Amino acid sequence: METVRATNVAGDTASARPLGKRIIAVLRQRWPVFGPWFGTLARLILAGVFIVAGALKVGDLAESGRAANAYDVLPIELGRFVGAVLPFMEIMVGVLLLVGLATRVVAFVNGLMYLVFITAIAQAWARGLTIDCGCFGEGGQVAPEDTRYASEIFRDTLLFGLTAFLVVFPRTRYSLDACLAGPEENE
Amino acid sequence: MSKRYSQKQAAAKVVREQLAKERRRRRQLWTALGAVVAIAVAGAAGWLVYSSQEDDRYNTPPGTYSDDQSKGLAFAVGEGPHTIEVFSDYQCPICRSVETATRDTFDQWVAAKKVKIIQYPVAVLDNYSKNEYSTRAAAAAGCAAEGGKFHEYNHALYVNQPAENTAGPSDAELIEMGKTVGLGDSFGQCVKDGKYKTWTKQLNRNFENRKLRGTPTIFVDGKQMTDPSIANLTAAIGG
Repeated sequence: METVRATNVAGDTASARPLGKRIIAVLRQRWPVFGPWFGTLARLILAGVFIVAGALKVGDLAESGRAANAYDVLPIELGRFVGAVLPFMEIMVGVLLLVGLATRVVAFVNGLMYLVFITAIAQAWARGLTIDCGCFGEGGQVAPEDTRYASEIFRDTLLFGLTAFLVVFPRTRYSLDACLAGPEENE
Repeated sequence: MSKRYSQKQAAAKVVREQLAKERRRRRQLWTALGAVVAIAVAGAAGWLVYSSQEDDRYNTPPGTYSDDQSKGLAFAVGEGPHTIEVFSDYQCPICRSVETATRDTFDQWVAAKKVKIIQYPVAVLDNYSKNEYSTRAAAAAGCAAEGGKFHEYNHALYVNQPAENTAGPSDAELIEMGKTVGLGDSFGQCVKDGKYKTWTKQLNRNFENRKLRGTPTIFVDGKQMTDPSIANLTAAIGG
């Protein structure tokens, strides 16, 4: 019994430590199991958000272009280009995350996209534009009291955090990456 | 003998590990490249789909108004020293209340030869309809212009405006609505054919090119009104 406890917390007895440190110790010990599972969860959340976001925009690409132009950053033609290209790219990024192929690179691309989104929303807020982010279709101008810049940025920041996690820990359960690697490499 | 054997084995293991490492590196490189190419191809596909949907050719309904700005994308009534431009969408509730509130006043000003009213029936709210009502209604308004009844039909569309995020009147119901203002069979055929849907797309492009963001947008003599109340409009045209 004593020996088991000693290996668990590597050093002094568990009960003498504060709770927070004990949790961290357990997490660290369990990391090889917990990390990949959390990675899978992150992948599924990010994939779900991107596939839904892309699918809601793909039906009306002209509207998607107007939503991009509502940010008033790019020349009109370039805004239309972004509006046409982005929904399809979102779906592809989402599908790649869903199956877990090239997780690190795809999460990196996803993270870059979130940085762009956050910057775009922040500049609209700072300049006093009153627009919807158009993240899930719709978009364009809204009444000043209907803007939701803070919650949009908060949400995108959380999702950016998940992409960062996957860039650092790209090994996840139930991924094509793991299938391709084969069993011996995974251990 | 046995010592040499184990040394050999250890060396073989190192080689095996290095080969495995090399394989992994290669696999990661190729999957990464494949993923990036897939994302780029998806983007290119999006551009192709968009380009195939966009067609710069469009039918212009008869009786539209043309000046440097409107280029046949609007209808106008009246002549006068002041110009009021209205960008509105048949699916937009605020457009409806503005139309209801200003209708009589605008008629009076037109009769008194105070203003020219230029109306752009843009169709930017298809996302707020379950059956693309925005575009179909605007295209039907173009058909109404063929029968010389744009203004009557325009008003009927606002009176019968559907709620947002519902299925608006079907084409058949739009045709029925036309009958109430005296539009007949050729109007019905025009609505069924969606003859002026290309025109509404052009209206939307023009709306975007002018950097307008929402409906209703109202200009008086080129100046955008933030609150188009009767009082503000009256002040803007100088009483």
